[in-house]
Amino acid sequence: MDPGTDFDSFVATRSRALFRGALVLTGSREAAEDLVQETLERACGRWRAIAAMDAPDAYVRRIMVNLANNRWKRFRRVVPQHDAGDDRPAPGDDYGRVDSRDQLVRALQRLPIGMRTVVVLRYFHDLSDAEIAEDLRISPSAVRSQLTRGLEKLRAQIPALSEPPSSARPRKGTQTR
Amino acid sequence: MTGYVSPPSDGRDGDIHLEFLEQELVTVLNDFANTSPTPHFDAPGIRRHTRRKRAGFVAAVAAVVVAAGVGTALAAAGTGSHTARPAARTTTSTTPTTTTSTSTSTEKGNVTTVPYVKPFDLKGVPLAAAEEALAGARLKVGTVTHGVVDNCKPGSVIAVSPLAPTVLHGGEKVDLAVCG
Repeated sequence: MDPGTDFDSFVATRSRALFRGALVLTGSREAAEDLVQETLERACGRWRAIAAMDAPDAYVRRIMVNLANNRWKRFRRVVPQHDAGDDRPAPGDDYGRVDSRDQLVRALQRLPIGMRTVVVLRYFHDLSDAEIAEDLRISPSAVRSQLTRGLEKLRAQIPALSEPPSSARPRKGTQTR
Repeated sequence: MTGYVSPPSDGRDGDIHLEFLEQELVTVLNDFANTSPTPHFDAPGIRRHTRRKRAGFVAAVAAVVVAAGVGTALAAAGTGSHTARPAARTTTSTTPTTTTSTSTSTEKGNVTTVPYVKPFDLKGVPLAAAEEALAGARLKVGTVTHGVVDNCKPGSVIAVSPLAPTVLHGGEKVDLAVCG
């Protein structure tokens, strides 16, 4: 296939998945859009090589998470900042109904980018330690420790999530790679 | 640390025993991913943009090749946006300059042949990588200044001095401007 058409169809079919990944990674629509745009530009520059790969998707995702990591300062600035440590509902407004899931989303965005990336790759992209390690060019044990510390931080911020309800456990998510 | 917490799952296939927090994360991340519709990404636009950048790169490499035969090394740079174009060591076949080449340079009379070294690209690379690349071309890093251009990546090279097509000899200094 003509490389140009090939790239266009990749963008058409895969940009949604990329954007969803960027969104959970950056926590902001604008930052996610920038990130995907830049990722696609980089991918386009090397498209001939990428198109020949077994898993172009995985490679492009790798470009993306590494871009996000390298620019964490820039993206952190874009993420809406909440007052540190204050997850109490603001008095008398809609936040009165805030539940632990909203808290979790915000707590996640407060994790350092490296930790957040590992959490996102595990629980959103459903990758194994080894795959995450390869994506981020770090060791599997570093992935483990980042994950453990990340979960610990989340747990500490949202005590309610440490106690499972008595209901049956849902199965692991089915996010496609 | 406050008490014992079970380690996160290792993500191996068939591992479905996720802890409550982990299950919540899966749900929350998927929910959050759906909170915003996917914007349109203009693939043909991206392709055109990439082609233009590549054309600029090719022009810079061509300049390097033209300068070959006169000197031993050359630093090139663009000041537009955040691109710093390649610096390279090139061949020399006529001058009796003492070369700093590594292994295979051969001397016949007063002609020194230096093996061709691939041009390398300093565009947006982290400072450390640029230093490494310059060292590889036997150039030294001169003054490193800091500045900001639109959309530059903190810690990456945004400009190189001297500009193309200045010819540098091994051991000479190249000044770098770094984002941030």
